[in-house]
Amino acid sequence: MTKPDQLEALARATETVQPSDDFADALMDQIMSESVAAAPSSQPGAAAWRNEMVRTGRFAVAVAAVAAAACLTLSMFAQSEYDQEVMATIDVLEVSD
Amino acid sequence: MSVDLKLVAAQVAKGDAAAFRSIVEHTKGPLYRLATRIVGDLAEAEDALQDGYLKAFRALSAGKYDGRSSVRTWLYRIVSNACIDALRKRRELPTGDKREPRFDGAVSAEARLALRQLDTWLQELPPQQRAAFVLRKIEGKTAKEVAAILDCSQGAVEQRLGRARATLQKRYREEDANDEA
Repeated sequence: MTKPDQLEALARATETVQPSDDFADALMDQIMSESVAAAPSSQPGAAAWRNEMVRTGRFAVAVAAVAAAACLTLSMFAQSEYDQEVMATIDVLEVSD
Repeated sequence: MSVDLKLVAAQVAKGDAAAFRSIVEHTKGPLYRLATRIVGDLAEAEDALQDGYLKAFRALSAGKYDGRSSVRTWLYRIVSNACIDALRKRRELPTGDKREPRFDGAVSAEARLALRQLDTWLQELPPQQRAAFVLRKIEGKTAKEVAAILDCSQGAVEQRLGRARATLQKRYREEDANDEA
């Protein structure tokens, strides 16, 4: 028998390989325990309160960051306008002198 | 009984973890056979298969299955990758602890012998070539199907098969020379 023939024979010999019936049970036990562990707690309590606090806190930090950036931009604008006004006044004074 | 695995996958994605059993029941046979053929060792194949199913469940639960390929092809890809990882680990730690298989009650003595012989023949092939060779030559998939399973081009599959054939032919010649001597 040549090697390719032997390969075909090996393919045929392994055609009926099957796991035993308890394979699916063992796998599903693992999956269900993982699924239960990953599921969020439905009981209102300290964990839920903490989660809500973290969520709200994150939102508050984001809002504060946006407000700070807006204030900075506004103050830079105001400063620039004030400087222009001051410079204009100085120019007027210099001309009148 | 025929089941639409895409519908079942959608159920799992919606949070019905128990529905995953239906996917396991309808695919465990061919996937166990594939894993044993690629890895060649029943215990390692079982680990790779379990690992593959767990990854598939997590991906479905996280909504990461996009439905572009069939559920079967997608599972073949995940399990093949798990087997490739197992073969890489074996190459890195060749003297790792051997454990006994747990779900091999239905595997005949003839099949065990054949798997051992297959493992010996294919042991020189790098994991990617070995997976491509098993899918094409033992599982009988087309080059297009192998490319879809291994998530690469058909050209890459042909290249891997060509290299695998060259390595195996060299081995056959050496064995024949030894037999004649």
